[in-house]
Amino acid sequence: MSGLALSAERPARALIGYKLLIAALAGLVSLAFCASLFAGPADVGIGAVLRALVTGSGREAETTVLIAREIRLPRAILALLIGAALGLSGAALQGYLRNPLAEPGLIGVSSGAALGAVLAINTGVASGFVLALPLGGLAGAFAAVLIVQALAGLRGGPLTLILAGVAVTTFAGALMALALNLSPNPFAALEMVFWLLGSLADRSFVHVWLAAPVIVPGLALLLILGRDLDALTLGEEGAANLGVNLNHTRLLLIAGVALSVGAATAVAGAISFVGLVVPHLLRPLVAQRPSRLLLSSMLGGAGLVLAADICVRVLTPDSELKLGVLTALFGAPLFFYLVIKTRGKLI
Amino acid sequence: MPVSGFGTIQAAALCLLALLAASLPAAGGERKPQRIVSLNLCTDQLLMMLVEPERIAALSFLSRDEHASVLAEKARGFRQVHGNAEEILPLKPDLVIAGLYAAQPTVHLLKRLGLRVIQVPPEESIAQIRDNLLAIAKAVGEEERGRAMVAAFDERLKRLRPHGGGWRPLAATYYAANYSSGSATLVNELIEAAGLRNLTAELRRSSTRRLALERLIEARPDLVIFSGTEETTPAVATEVLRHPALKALAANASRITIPDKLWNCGTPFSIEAIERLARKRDELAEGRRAP
Amino acid sequence: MAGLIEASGIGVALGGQRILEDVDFSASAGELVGLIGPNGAGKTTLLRVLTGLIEPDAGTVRIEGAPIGELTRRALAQRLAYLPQDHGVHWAIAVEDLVTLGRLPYRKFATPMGAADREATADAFRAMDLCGFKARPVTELSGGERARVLIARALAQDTAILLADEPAAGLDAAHQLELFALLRRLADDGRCVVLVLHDLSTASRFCDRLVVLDHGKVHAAGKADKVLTSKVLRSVYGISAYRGRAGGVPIVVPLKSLDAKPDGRPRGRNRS
Repeated sequence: MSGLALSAERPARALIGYKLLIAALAGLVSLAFCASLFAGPADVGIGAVLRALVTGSGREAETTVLIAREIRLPRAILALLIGAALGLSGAALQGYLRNPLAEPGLIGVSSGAALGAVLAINTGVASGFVLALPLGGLAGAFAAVLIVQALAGLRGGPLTLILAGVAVTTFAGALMALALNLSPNPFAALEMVFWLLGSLADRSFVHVWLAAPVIVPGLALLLILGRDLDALTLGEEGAANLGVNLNHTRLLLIAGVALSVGAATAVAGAISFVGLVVPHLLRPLVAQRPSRLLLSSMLGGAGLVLAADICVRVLTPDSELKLGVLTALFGAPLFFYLVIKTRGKLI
Repeated sequence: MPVSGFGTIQAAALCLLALLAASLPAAGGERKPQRIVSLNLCTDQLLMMLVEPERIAALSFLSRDEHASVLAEKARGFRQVHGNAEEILPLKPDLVIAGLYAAQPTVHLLKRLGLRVIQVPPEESIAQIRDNLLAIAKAVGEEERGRAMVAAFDERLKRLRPHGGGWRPLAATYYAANYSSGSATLVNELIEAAGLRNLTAELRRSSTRRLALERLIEARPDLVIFSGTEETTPAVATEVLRHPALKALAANASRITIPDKLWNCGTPFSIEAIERLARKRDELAEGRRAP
Repeated sequence: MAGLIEASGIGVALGGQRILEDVDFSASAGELVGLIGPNGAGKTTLLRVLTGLIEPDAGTVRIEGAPIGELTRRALAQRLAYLPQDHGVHWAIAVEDLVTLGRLPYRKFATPMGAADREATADAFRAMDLCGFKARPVTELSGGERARVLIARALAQDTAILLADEPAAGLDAAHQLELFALLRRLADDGRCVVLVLHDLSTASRFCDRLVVLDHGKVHAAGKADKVLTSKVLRSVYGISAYRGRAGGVPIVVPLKSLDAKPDGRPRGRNRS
């Protein structure tokens, strides 16, 4: 049974109660959000940042206000939203596919969004039209998801879906490289790295207003899937018998993932591993219930991306590391650990 | 038919001697190169200023780009090459001028095939501009013209000089992808020649490196210098140039756009950059005096 | 008498093959109906048509008088519980959480469990003797224990109709007896229970009525002693069997295959 291979041996009674878990995660996210406001290369103290945020140019120097309000605040908000989108999408996909290896990147959403955004920017279609970037990303995300669905077919099992996703991801990546190669953009190589690894450097409120109105509805669509995902524990027939409309479930899932991850990728590039690792870590803490994994993964994802973003600014303040590097550095050892743990049991 | 006083053999020998004499190189050196190929944006422009068009066999494709090259219009009249040997050899150049750092394999290949290649370092200082001008002038056999150009260059520089003392505003360059020019660059020298201080040099960074937006804002420069790429190039890298914080800073401070083409190569046109910056400096000083 | 479940003229074709042809079926409250027949006869398919999972190419299914297509999924889920053959559980959730899934058709989005929910779940736990297992992950249970948990889920769903596909597979003798006794009680209490089963003794002992499917058609239907005649056993299963009573309960014991070759092996009867 594919769903059980990696997380089978944890006790079903969660270590801490669900409400306590959510409260703890929310607390961690708030902490990370605040820490994110204080991290950065400029030499401004915590108190100065807080005053600048709250009172504006009244008490603090103009530049501190600029830094706090226009550089750090939008960045923290974006990290929160994007992490939430990735974590929640990962949990929803894993629940729906009954496969703990599923993540938004795997089914082609991130690559599709990156390709859409690259085309929007580099073909000059975008010049001046500020909405072209998120729209391009969304179009790419939806196209990728629909193609994967069409390839895998309605009856396709998780394996088929993953294969289709890999095919679409690879193809979209190749098209993106082609587009950047052919474009007159002198920063093409740099841009490839941005789209492949993701970064929140120098994002502003413009990006927040572009992404938030799309991400938030996407999150909402995914959060209401809790019941359906719980029912799917019994398989598709069992879920159907419990009154679940599986067509609606799939529709909501696709729309939610495409909206939230599409917009997130359009403004920050593709950040890998978050949607895969966060649900994995939290699953034993919610006794493997898919519905409870949704909210907790949303918070967990937000926390992880906020933490990664703080790290890139602390480690390399000027020429920042890409976010994807850190999430991969964190995610890969986790997989080593999981492989070693299950090695004994797969015999 | 025998001519009085000369035998046939002597006549032939005389003709041969005359022929030899004619083919000897002119006094003072070899013949001037007639089919010159330039592989580098900066040497392209210097070349165009030093020799007649008939003597230029080809220029690099970069010199046609109006954002990168001051003489783009003129460059379009010449054949363009992209810097690979297969394109260059059929042109049978008698001189190839290249930069120090680009297309090394191509340069090596051309040298091995017996072509005359000279390489010229990038201009990272005003002194280097003079050196390169003279070096290229010598190679193409136009030393007189070269010396004249250097003299004119120095004359213009002198006319800029009087800045003695007074307030030197803090300027900062900011390009796409957060790049900024620090010390040991031509940009730095030109900024200082205009009577300004360079923030990135004062932060003790040399050459052109990335500078975090926060550090730029924190330092509160009096003048932000842009290169104009944000208007012409759609790219993620140019997004930072439209960042609201940067816009706010440049509204309070002052801003100026110095097109890349003026100072990405060290040519006599680079003085234009100093002149524009100097005018801006005077503006700022005026604004400071008047409340 | 109008049945709780009524199907008439059901025809199903899949991949060019006729799986069911002109099948009539009905079951009422208080009845325990057994669906029997050889492998590949179409029993599981018929059951899935009755649950609404498959739409038949011909014929109609009515639940409590209403055509199945007119009921909302929720309404259908509140009337009919289905236990498929495949005991798949995809996540190692706690027994308690799995049984509670049976209350999903009654619970509105994001509302906590109500009193009725808790009561139904508690009843299900008691009925299947699961009180010691509540917190354990389902995957740690033995096959028989897991089967009981899944049945408890169906019980918690508190439906008038229960359809089960070979529910006793994997259970030991004691638990089998217990299970069928429970199903009998459920029927006696007023539910309508439809089972697919293989064991002919159990079928004749516990079921009120039997329906014999063969090659997608109803071969015979009625009370056990009317249906399980040697004629039917021979033409449907190709066996001869001993039918009698032992210890007060009817038994049917297959004796030998009638198509057997001299060495005892059956001739190839193509059942596909």
